[in-house]
Amino acid sequence: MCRDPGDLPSIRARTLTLSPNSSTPGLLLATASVSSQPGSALTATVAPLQGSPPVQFNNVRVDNGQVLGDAAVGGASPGDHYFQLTAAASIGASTSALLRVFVRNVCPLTVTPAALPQATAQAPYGPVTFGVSGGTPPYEIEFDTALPPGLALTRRTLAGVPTAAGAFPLPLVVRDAGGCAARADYTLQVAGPACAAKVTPQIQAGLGGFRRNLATGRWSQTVTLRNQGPGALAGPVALVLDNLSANAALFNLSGLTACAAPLGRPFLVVPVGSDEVLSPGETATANLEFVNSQPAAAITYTPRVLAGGTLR
Amino acid sequence: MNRRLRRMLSGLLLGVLSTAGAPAAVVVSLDTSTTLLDLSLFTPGATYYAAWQLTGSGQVNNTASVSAFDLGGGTGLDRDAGDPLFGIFTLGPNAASDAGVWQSSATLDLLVNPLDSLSLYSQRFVAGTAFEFLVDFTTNQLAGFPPDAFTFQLYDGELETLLYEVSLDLLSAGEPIPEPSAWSLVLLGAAGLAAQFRRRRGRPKSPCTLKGAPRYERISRTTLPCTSVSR
Repeated sequence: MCRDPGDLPSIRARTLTLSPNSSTPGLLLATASVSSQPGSALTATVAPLQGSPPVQFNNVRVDNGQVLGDAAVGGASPGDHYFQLTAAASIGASTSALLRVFVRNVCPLTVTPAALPQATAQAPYGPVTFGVSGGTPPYEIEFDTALPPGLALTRRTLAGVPTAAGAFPLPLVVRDAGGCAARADYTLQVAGPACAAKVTPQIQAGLGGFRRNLATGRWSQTVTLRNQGPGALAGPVALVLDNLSANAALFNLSGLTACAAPLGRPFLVVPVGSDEVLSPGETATANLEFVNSQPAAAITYTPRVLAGGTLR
Repeated sequence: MNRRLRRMLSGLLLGVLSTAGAPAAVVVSLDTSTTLLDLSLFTPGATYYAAWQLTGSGQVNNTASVSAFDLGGGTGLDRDAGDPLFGIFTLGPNAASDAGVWQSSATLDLLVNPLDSLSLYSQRFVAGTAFEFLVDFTTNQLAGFPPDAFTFQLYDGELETLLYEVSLDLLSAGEPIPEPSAWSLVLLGAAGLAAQFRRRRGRPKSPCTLKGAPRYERISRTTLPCTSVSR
């Protein structure tokens, strides 16, 4: 939609604003305010001084001189139009003003896509390229708000890795060379991070024995993860400790599972190399550290291996 | 059978013929070429804490019998009330001796069972030019559970810094899918053969060495990945 620049000088500081009539393209609605004496009902007439629009103001009666009701200027062509507005009070007094009306084209800009595809937190998004048609190229586009963290608009392309989930209103403003501006009110839905897939059958966890460090008081264990499956496994790879005995707590945990059920289990992300891929036959080593509140009691847990997503 | 051949075969037998519950043995040896975790060398005259521990997974019984302590000219310090001790262990031949594991012909038996998952003994010594002991252990294990483990650790005299660690998973033979630690036992004998020939060519001794009991061979760290060795 287009807007008038707003600055509408008139002899007596009258104001007139226009907005497009969406139901009837090319038909502009005008409102004007005319000062008058308090208590006097005014009527106003409008006659064009320049240009050739077939002008017809409806409901131009001004009550108490405060507000001129909506009026229609039909078929106004783009450009400046001057109107002599005369308001006559019922008591016989009258006032007049010269109004300038600048009529813009109704902006024909169309922006695609109609809606933004959904994003997933911590996963690459896009690129989504915006297309603009109509109006006069070249076009300028920008978001009228801050983008969600992790996303950026480069020229006409939106891309990045959103870091947070949620619904983000993203009004996009497009301007063409003719000064038209269009606005597309997008909303970007960013879903929570993808849950990692359980891959325990594909990865065998070779559990080593425990040892206690007398200096730190903590217990250590080495777990070797081997990809037994036929295909490569995309990381990150995490070793989850289910059913960890009550006497033990994982000291060097990466976090607690908040995505892949069961939730609240401690896990350790296991480095699998710079390419984040565990190839068939390849191994990765997890060095677990525990706090054991009852040294005589064994540390027990059920290992579960997750890969290909996040856990929190 | 000559001595050389006997050594070769015994090294192989250590891993290959080890069955569930059957004893196995290794010798842990350090000397002045051993690089410690803080990148210092094992230093004669320095005071260290030696700690032996057996940890269990709460499933089976296992024992580790430590003997043949050799301080390499160093001096064993008497037991102190502050020496960390835990769980079930037996000190011999005189359990009441202040000399502890440094007494003549000392033996230290560590035991874990489903209710006692940690057996720990530690004592200080002033280092000589070498440090060595023999450990025999049983290899009971239930599939699907972590193996019990024997660990030797060396700390500074204040017990503030771990300086050396060698850990052996007590894996029984016949595990469905042996992990590297299990294979290390299987490869123990073969590695011993390789070490034999290398040593014969005059290569310097590896910092971390495991050698067999009198019937087993010294094995180089460079060919045998000591299970969970830190140095």
